[in-house]
Amino acid sequence: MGQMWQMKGETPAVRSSMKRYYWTFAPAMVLYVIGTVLLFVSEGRSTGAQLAMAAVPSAGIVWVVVALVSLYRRSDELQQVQMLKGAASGFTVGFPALAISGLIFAFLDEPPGRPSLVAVWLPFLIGMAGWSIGWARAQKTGF
Amino acid sequence: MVNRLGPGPEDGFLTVKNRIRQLRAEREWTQVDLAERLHVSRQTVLAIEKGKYDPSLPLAFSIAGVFGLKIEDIFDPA
Repeated sequence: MGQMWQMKGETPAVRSSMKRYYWTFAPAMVLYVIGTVLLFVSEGRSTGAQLAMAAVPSAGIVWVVVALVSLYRRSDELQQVQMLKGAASGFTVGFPALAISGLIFAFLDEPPGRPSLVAVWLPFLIGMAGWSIGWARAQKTGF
Repeated sequence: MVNRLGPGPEDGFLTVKNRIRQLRAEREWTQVDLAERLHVSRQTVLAIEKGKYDPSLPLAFSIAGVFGLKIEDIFDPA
C-alpha cells in the first residue's frame, strides 16, 4: 500500500524520525488526555481518589521519560545528536510559547482558581506546537 | 551554506572532507550496505557523506576498518 498522505517538506529522514518517536509520545498523550478529564471529575472526592486519578497523567510522564531514555540508548551517534538538538530547539521555542499562552489564559481564567478545560489545554497545545516546530527544525537543519 | 549537524568553521572548528561516497561506489555498496556494516542508520551515512556531520573518532576508525584503509586515507582537513 502506498503513502496515503504526505506533509509538505516531509523527507524520508523526517518520516523515519517521526516513526521513532511515535511510541514515545502517542501513549503518553492518551494518558494525559484521560488524566486531565479525571482530574476535573475528581473534585470533591477523597484525597486517595484524587491521588489515584492524578497517577494517570503521572504515568504518562514516566512513560515519556523511560521511552526517551530507551530510544536514546538504541540510537546511533547522529540520532543522539539530533535528539539532543531537537530537545534544545523544542525547549527554546516551546517553553516560551507555553509560558506566554499560560499567562494569557491565567488572566482569562473565570472564576479564578477553577480553570476550564480550554484554559488547561490551549497552553499545552500551543506549547506542543512550538515544541514540534523547534524539533522538526532541528531535524532538518541541525538547529 | 551547508546546514550542519555539528560544529563547523563558523564555530572555529576545522571542516573535514571525506572520500566515503567514492570508496563506497568503488565497492558497489549502497548506503544501506555501508550503514549495516557500521551499525548506524542510513541517514548517518548520508549526513557524513554530504559533510553535514563529522563522525566521532570511534566511528571514523570503524569506517576506516570496513574499507581496509587508514583514517587519513579517507578523511582530509579541508
